Amino acid sequence: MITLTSSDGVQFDVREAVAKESQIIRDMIQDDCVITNIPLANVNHKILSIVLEYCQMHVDKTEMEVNASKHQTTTGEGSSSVPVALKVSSNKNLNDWDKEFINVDLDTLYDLILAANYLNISGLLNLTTQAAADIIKGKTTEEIRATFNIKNDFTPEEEAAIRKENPWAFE
Amino acid sequence: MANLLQTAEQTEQLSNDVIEEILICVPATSLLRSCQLVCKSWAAKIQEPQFKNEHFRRNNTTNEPLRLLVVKEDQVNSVVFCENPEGVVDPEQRREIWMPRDLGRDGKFGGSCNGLLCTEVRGEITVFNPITRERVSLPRPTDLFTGFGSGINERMYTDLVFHSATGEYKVVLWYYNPLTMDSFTINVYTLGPNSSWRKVINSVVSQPYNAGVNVEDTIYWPYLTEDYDTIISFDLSKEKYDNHLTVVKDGLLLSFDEKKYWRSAISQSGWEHGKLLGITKWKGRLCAITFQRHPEQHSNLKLWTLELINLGERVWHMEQEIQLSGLMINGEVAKLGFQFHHRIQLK
Repeated sequence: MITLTSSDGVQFDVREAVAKESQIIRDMIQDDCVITNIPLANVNHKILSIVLEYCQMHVDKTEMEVNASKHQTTTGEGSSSVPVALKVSSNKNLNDWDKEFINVDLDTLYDLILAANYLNISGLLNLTTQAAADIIKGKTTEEIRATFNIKNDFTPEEEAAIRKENPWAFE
Repeated sequence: MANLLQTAEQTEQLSNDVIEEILICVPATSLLRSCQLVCKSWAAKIQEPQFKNEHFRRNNTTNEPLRLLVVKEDQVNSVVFCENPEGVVDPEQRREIWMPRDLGRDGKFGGSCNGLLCTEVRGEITVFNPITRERVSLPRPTDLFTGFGSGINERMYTDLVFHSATGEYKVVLWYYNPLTMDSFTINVYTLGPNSSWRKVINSVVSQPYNAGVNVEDTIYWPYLTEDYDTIISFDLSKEKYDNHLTVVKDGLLLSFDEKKYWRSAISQSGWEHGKLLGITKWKGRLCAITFQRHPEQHSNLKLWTLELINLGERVWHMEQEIQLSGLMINGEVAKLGFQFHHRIQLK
């Protein structure tokens, strides 16, 4: 077990495999195998618990698949159809689970992106950035600014110049 | 005890990376329409060449050159753009983009690949990106164009291709000048700095009529005449031209040598000789679709793929035969549709 401590001091005890979903923790454990407590200065307990939920689920599913394929190799060809079906359904379930998982409010999504990037969890980073891109996709410039709390730093002249460059885009 | 403390600077850097990761997933039209006006840092990011390349690489998941659909083939007043290749069949997902007046009104379609478009206006060749509106005007090949626009019966045909082995875009130009020669020359212009036209092949008799199909850096064009149909090809790496690929006879694809003029005859079984409807790429191979009609019975479509085997030998395989009741398709109406995600569509 490894203890991860959030920025606001809450401790989470997780299995090593779960913590190792994070590339940065994986590297740390490799460098120093006696690590038992890792403080995470940039992730608060609320976000960390969500991140760990993701890691836990993905580790569990992967282990289930490994067990299923072990089962397949030890029991011979006769029963191979069962584990294959299991694998397919678990992949499908995991995608559905991801979809449900990422259905969060925008503040949480943004924090999750930052956490996934900071902890270097590639699956979670892909999932969260794609979700953010999907939000941007249908929005106007003003809506994007409002959503992401971005200040418009263009002068009216600069904005007009960009509009002029791609007139078709602003029909 | 390890510590994952970060400085404020690192955090700033991170969110910059994160923004890039997010914007990479946003479709191009949305990037240009709304995202680049959000703030200066987003605009700068979207304009970075590395970002554009990465965006193209990540979003071109089909690994097939994306084609623009040209609304009118002889003129290019507008092109239809579709971000999702699957969405081509769905009018809701298509977006029509008007071309600049100087390129569109008198422009002839001169090929497209990876969403770029080549047009020709009175001998001026331009490569144009309809999304970013960037354009590259190619120099006139002065040694070739002796009298363009002066009413002399010059003929030219261009195609825009992507040479994946070198990562270069090239314009292939067939040019016929009745004053100086009696056949076509093939000329290549590689887009990039310090480029110029190179004449690579002299004395070619056939000229393509449709946009080419790129299969492993060889471009294939259908060559359809009154007398016979064939496929001509140009190998981008070896810069080698070939017109001995195939003709259609009795609904079969044969090698060019067997018999050149055969269209006028009716074969014994009563079937009219086959016609090459068009070519496309299917399952990574060159695919030809032939059409054959029986005057009293029915018609059929055959779908062939070209397999390259050792020593450059090529074999056509018939993959599918589709019986059409009645004479649904005649030579005028039949037109090969577009192929996306290994689906062939006839329209």
